[in-house]
Amino acid sequence: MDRCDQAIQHAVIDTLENMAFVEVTPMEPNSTETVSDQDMTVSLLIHNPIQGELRIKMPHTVVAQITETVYGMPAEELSEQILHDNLGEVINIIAGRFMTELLSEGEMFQLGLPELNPIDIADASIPSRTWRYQIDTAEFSVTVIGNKLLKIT
Amino acid sequence: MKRIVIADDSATARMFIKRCLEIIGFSDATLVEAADGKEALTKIKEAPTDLVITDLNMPVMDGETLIKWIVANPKINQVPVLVVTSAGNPAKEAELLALGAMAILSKPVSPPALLEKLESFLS
Repeated sequence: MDRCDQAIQHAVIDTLENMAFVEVTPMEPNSTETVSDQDMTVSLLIHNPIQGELRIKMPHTVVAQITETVYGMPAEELSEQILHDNLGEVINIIAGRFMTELLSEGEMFQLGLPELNPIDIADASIPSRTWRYQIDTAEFSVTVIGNKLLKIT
Repeated sequence: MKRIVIADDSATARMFIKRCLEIIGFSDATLVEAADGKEALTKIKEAPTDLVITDLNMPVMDGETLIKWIVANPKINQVPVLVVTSAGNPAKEAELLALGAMAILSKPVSPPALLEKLESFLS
């Protein structure tokens, strides 16, 4: 497990367990991704000291489950806007924890604002790496984009 | 009754902080929400405010700028500011404390962590 691997695992698992009290299980790196048109996607740019991007693709049902716990309200009372906002906050916290662990102690960083439903990555030449997780039986993925981010050792 | 202004562009984060405040004994406080630093500044000036809880990374006006505006205004510069952020580290925390923040907390906020930071404020 390299440093990027370790940082993303800690950030994803700690954030969702502390925020929504759900058990997150990492999946095998070579497992096949299940794509659904019910997936929600959010991205967040990392501006400084290195540039990159973080993306989360999560089934609508999982976002609803997490939001239900966070808000303490039944899922049917939660609007789409609240679900989007919650997913934005999830990526914001994950990105913060990821960068804190990835960089040398004390090094400052600057994050962008969450963007919902970003356009797909068209440029295949930009290095990216995806980690997949399970909450109960539902799968979601976290992708780190950017050569410099992925090469920190 | 205390008046607390909560500044964060995420409704989820504001709601999370409100729930934590209620759990640690602020259920009778007036909790005023703002979606960015500029809106928070307006709300702080509207009525006597006992505490500001702010995020750093917000559109329109970020948390650091909000602290600078509060510190620069003699009418409100006694209001304590608690920063809640996902982008915290020791260097950033030192910078924010030097700027005038009372304390810094990492997201996601938990009631015990919030209580610890607000103990002096409560007393």
